[in-house]
Amino acid sequence: MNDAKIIAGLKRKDARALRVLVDRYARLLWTVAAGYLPEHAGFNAHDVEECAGDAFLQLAAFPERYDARKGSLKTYLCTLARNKAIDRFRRSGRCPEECWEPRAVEVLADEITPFASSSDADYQALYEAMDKLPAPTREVLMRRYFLEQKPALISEAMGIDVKEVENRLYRGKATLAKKLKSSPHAAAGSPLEREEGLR
Amino acid sequence: MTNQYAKHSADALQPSSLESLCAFEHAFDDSAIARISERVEQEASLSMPRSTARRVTVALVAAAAVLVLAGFAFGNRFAYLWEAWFGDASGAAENAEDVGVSAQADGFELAIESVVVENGTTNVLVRITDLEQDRLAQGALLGHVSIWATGLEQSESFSALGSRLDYEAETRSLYQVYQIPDDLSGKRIVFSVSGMSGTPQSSQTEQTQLDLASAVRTHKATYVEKQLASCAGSMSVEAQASIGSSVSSITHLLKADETSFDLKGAPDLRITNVGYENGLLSVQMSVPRPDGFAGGSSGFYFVDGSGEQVSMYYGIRYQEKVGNEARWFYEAAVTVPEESIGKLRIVTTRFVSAFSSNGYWEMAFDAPA
Repeated sequence: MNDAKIIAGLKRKDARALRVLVDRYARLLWTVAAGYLPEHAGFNAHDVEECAGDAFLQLAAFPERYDARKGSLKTYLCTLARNKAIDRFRRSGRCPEECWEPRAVEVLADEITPFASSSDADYQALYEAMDKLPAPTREVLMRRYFLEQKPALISEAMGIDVKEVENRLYRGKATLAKKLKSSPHAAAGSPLEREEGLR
Repeated sequence: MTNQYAKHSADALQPSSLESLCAFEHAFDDSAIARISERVEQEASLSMPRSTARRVTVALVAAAAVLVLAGFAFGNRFAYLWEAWFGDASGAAENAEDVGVSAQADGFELAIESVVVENGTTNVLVRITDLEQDRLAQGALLGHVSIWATGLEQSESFSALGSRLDYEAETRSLYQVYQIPDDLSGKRIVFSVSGMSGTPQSSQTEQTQLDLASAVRTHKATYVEKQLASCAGSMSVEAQASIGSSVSSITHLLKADETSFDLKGAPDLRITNVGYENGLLSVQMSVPRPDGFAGGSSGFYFVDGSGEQVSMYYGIRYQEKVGNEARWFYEAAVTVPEESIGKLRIVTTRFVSAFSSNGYWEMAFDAPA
C-alpha cells in the first residue's frame, strides 16, 4: 500500500490503512519523539508513545492536510511527531529551542565529503559509520545528528561536561571524514557526482 | 515553489538502525505498535468498510482453497513483507525470488523463504517458527550467524545485519531480514545459525525488603582507590564539579564483594556492598556482563518514600578482577542525610530473555542470478 492509497484509505475512514501506517512508521515516530523527550528531563516511554499516537491520530483526523508535493508521508509524519514532542516538552516548562537543532545531520553531511548529499542511502551509511566508533563518541554523535540534540542537552543526558561533548563531536567528525573518504562510497563518488558525471 | 516538509534525519534510516538509535532514549517496545494502533483506531472512529467486511467473508469461505494454494499465498505474503521493508515505490520486491529451504533443531524451525539482491546488497528473508510453544512474539535474537558464499574465486564469509519484520501469531512465526552488504547474485550461500534467544525484555522490581539504613548501620563498608580498566556511566553536575568531568575520574569506590544481599525478582543480581560516607550513600551491585548496546544492561535506581526517582550523584558500571575472574559491578551514589536513608528504596532493572536455545541450523540455497 503506497502513500496515496493510505491517504485515500484514511479519507474513507478505513481502519486497514491506519494499521499499515502504524505498522510501518511507529518505530520511526518513536525514535523521533524520544529524541525530544529525554529521560533525564523526566520523560518516560509513555510520553513518547503518546506523542507517536497523537501524530497518527492527527493524520487520521485530517488526512486532507497532507500535501504529497511537499514531501513523503513519512517526512510529514515525522514533522507531526516532532511538533507533538516539542509541544509536550514546552508544556513541561523548559525551553526546547535551546536544546535541539533540526537538520543538523545535513550540516554534517555537507562537512563530510563524499556524503554531501541529502539522499536516504547516504544517511544510512553515515549512521553505520558512526556505529563503528567507540561507545561514548558514537553516542554523542548519534544524539547530536540523529536525535537532533544540542551539546548542552547531550551533556545532561550523558553526565559529561559540555566541553567534552564538543571535543568528542570534533574528534568524531574528523574520524568519520577519514573513514568515509576511504570507504567504497567514496570510491564511487557521491550520488550527485555520479549522476552529473563530475568525477 | 512549494515549501517542503522539513526532513528528520532519522527518517532515512532502516528499522534496525532506528531500534538501536531509540535505545539511547526510551527503548522501543514492539507491543507499543498494538497499543498505538488500538488507541488511534478508537479515537479516530475508524472502521472496516463494508466492502472490506465482504471481502473478509469471501476470504473465510475460500479458506480451503487458500490452504491448497498455500505456496501462492506465501508468495503474496513475502511480497507484502518485502514491500514493507523496501517501501512500495522502490519496486525491489518484484525482484524477490522464493527459496524455501529450512532446518529444524531444539523445537525451532528456521527457513530461508525469499531473497532479493538490490543495490549491491543481498537481502535474505528468514522465517523462525516455534514448533512447540509460543516464545517468539516478543522477538528473537539469532546467536552466531555465519554466511558463506561459494561460486566466487574462493569461498568467502560475510557478515549480516538482522532486522525484525513481522510476527505471525497464527503460525508462531517471526520474520526477519538479514542484509549482506555484497552482491551475491548467482552464488551458492550457506546460512548457518548457532544459538538463539528471546529479545531481552525489561522488568523493574522495588526491593521493599531491603532496609538500606539497617544495612549501612550493621555493615561497615570499606572504601578503596580503584584504577578501573573498563567503565562507563553518568555523573551529576555536582559530581563533575567535585570529582572530575568523566566517570573515569571516580576512583574512590566500595570494596568489591564485601557483603551480600539477595534481591527479589532478580536471581542473577545481588547487592555486594553498601556504604555511607560524607553524606553520600553508595550501593554496589554485581551485574551480568553488559549484553551489548541493543540488549541493555541490568542495574538499579533509588526512589524516595513517595516512589519518586531520586537523582543520582553518579552511577558507574565497571569491570574489576575478583580472584581470577573479571566481574562487572554497578555502583551508584546519592546524596542523602543519614536520618533519611531509611526512606530510600532500590528499584532493580533487569533485561531477561524469555528463552535461550543452543540449537544449530544450517541452510544452503542459490541466490538469484
